[in-house]
Amino acid sequence: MLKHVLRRCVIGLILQSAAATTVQAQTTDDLFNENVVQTLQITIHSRDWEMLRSNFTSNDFYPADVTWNGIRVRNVGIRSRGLGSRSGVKPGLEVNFAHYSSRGQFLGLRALVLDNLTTDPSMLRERVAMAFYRRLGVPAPREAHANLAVNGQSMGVFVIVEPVDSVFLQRWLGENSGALYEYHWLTPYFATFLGEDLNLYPPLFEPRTQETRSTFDLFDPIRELFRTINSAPASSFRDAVNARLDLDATLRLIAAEAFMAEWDGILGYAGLNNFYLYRPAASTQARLLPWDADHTFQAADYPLLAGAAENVLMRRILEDPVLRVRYFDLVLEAVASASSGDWLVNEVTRDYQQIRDSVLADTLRPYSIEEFDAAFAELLSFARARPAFIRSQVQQHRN
Amino acid sequence: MTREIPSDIGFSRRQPHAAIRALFASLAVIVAISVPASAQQATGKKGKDESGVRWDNDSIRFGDSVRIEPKFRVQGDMLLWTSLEPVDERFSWASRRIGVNGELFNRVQFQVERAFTDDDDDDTRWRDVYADVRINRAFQIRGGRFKLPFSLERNTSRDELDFLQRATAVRALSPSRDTGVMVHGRVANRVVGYEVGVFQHADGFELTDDPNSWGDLGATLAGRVTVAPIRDKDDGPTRDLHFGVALVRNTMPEGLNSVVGRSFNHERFFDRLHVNGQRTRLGFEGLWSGRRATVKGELLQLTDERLLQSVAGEDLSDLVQRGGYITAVVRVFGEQGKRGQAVDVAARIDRLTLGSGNDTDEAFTNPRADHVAPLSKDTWTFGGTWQLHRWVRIQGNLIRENLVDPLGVRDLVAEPVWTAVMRFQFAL
Repeated sequence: MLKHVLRRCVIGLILQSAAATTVQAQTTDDLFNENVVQTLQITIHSRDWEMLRSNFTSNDFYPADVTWNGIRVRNVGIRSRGLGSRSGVKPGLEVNFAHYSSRGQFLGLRALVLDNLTTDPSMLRERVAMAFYRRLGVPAPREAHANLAVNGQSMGVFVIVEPVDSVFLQRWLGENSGALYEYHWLTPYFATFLGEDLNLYPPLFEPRTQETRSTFDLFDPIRELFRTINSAPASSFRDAVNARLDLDATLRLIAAEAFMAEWDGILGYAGLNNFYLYRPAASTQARLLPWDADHTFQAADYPLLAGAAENVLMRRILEDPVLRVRYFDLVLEAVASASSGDWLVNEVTRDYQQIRDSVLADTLRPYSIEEFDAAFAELLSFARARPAFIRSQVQQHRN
Repeated sequence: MTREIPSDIGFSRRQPHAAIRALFASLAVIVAISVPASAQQATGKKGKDESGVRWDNDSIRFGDSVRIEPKFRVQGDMLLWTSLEPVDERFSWASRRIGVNGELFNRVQFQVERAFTDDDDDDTRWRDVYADVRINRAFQIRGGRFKLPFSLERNTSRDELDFLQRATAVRALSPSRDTGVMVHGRVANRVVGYEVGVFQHADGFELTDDPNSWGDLGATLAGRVTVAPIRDKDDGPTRDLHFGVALVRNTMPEGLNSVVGRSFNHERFFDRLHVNGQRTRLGFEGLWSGRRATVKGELLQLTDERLLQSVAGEDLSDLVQRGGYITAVVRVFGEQGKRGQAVDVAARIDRLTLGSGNDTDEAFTNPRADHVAPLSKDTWTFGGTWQLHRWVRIQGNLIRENLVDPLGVRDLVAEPVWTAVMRFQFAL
């Protein structure tokens, strides 16, 4: 009898140890592994799920459990998210592991975004664009496609997006003690000076860290940044702005956006959009970080300098001879990176092949499979034609 | 079947349930039978009928048989200081009410009261609207809308409170007024008091309109027993001593219907959680009054079942909220038991705690957590009451509120909040 009990204990310990090893082996690299379509399951009370779907314009959180690769994370908060992509049929979701406990986390992450891909027929733009940013050294979220099921019912294909938050900042910049702001598009805004009143800035720049600091501490640096962009003399523009904004990093981001024909980014058709601003604690130099890239790859012949004349920052950058040269160099760097080994063509093709079966099975996507295939073909065509077009544009504008 | 889901501010009302209507009809019959008989008794007993209309002791009297007392009360609060951010509005009306109470034929007491502004302890502008028929000392029947027999402090009128607000636990855990019928009285040579009632609503939720059943929610049942073993004269060492126990039980509909705790300035300090099933309130109370001092306290507990409320649709452990207070009042000037000029100083310590039956797993703040992250609010209140006239009094309170998160799960401001408030009251 004792022998039997001991044997069971030993077997149990071995099994438990094996299970623990499996769980511990999972990292965010596994979650954002681009070589597989992930599977996520959400368990949520049926009444809450009905409420979330019927009130999809609300940001109310609901409790849920999330399961991935055999790991069940309990008591997470989920809410509907997005602007144009908000949907009651296939809701985009924020999964917040810390919403119901200040200690909550999953694989070191505080939150995840599940992008419902309802504004992009190819369902590829967001992921390919973010991969390209990262390839160029621009801090950008990691992303992976996933099949999502809620209470056992398939909700179709989503993209898991790493949020821009304190965990992201720590990983990319090595520190996260500064102030992070999410930019909100309210009206067309082209980096003009808004005025002296500090209350004009919070609606546009929502603090995502350091939220409890005073209005002056949070928004005086932003006011001064845009004052400098607008009023610094041409002779000192470069140094003055660079003291408040990492110009090289900003130019790299804009160059990447320009190559990808991002028409809703820093040089967006309706003004600034889709970025975060981070001001490190130990530096006055802010960084711009990209977000929400589902309007990239607009057209292979989308002009390189589209939106540059309207945007005060970009207009003045291009008026500075040193910065102008640097910008076109960075654009060519982007072209070279996309073309190297046909990276962009291969990336688009691989991702398309990887998710097509899942897309076929997604009954909640707002596009037909023909539209999906056609959007992929457009993307592929963009990837093939864009480098040559951009090279010609650089040549044209440099001279 | 109809149910009304409450908003944060208040609950709407529908027509009373058929069964409740039947109970009121019975009450009307009792009144009809008892009033003529008691009128005869009253005339016969006194032997001397003071006929005519006269004003006597703040009331209008019609002979010996009818007394009508107009009631009027205004309370205005002035915020003197707070450690929170500066506030724009320093003055607020705490209460504005008008009403009438009285007695008919020495047998039927009644009260009708309406508020002109919302305050923190009720959900409609109609406050007490009831009639109370006295068969004898041991058996009285009350019908209408009135406070449930639960909590000593909840059943103390606002204009007689020792502090500006009732204790946090009392405000959160005791039920407010409801429509119902209650029998009450004192037995065993007035040593034992009892109150047992049935009420129409379940914490603001309507019963079914189905005349054949009480519906899913059922009635709210409430009972309270008090024991007063010693009762001295006003200058005795034990003017009053009593202990009591009370129980209220009803069924709560599924939803975010847990009770919430509020700070002095009415801010919630935790959100509503999902409940479904039986709600049980249990209360213990005690009071001792001496020549110049009074000490009283209560322990209250509210448990909510959470059937089928987990994210996977399984039962959760009961939601448990506990609280209590102890108050000491010393009369430094004026006579006890009289309505003349007087000055009292008082101090109260109270606590309200949120928790759950499961207190071992990892704790979360979410509305479907099995182990609800515990949270307590400790409040110290120091106050003074100056009764200038039997109609006028001034109160000042210094309040310290502190939230305690024993597991460190919540993002709380650790600093206690101090508030100093003064109240002016005119009550007829």
